Amino acid sequence: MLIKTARIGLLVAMAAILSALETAIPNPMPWIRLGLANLATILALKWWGIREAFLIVVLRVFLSSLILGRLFQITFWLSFLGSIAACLGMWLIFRCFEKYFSLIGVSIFGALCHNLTQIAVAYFLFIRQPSLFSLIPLLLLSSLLSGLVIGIVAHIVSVQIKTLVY
Amino acid sequence: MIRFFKILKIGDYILTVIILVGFFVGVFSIRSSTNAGQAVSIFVDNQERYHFRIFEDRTIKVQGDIGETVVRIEHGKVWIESAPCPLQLCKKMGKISKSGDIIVCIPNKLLIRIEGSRGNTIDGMTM
Repeated sequence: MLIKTARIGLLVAMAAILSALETAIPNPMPWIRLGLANLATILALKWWGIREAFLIVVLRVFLSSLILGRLFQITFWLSFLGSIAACLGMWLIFRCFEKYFSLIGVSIFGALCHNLTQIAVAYFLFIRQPSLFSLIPLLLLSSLLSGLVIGIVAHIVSVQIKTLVY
Repeated sequence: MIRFFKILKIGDYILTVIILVGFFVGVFSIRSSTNAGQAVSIFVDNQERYHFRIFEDRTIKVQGDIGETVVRIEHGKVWIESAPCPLQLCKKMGKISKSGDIIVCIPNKLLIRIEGSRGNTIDGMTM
């Protein structure tokens, strides 16, 4: 139990630092991010389950928002709801279709959930302009690419750390 | 490279194909209007605050939710000159000129949209 708590803490810390560091990476276009923190969610879902992953997501979003100084601002809610949607979406894949998906597909699906939820939240809560949806094709492509990168990393990590007892 | 394709499973391919189809459908349905814009609409908190012709050069200071955003219209192009938001994403969205193009600043609740000539573009479509 103690070891598991420590591991969850490690993943939270890693995810928070990664999502804070990510803002230092220059993005080719706004709205497009790598989503490095999703790595922790995928690993938690693979190793444990939805409860641990959910805990990690919530803690991570709070912690990284504290680091970036945007707690309870609009971007905080976008990130919070997007990350929770990604977590639930990936859990669904793990739960129902694990046979048919590798971690790469799971990660792409998570990125997709994240991006689509963000645009829906931005529409319903902040900017009620249908033209906001013209960003969707761009977000689809970005989900595919960033999900692919994070999926490959997650696959490598999960192959390297196979002997996780708890 | 071969090892990479060994990792992938059938669901991964299906998901990728669905996303790519969605991307191309979206791109062609949205970007089909490549005609130059006629007017610029600036919305703050979903209210249309300003409406200008795009060929009249001007600088507009828009009071948004968290501060003042400076919008520049010049030679048929529109861009954000300065913004109060922390990430400055709206500035990075660059210059827009085609009808239907938008610049969004979520922290400041600002949306700038280029309108085409009336009657020439489709505003909505139902199936």
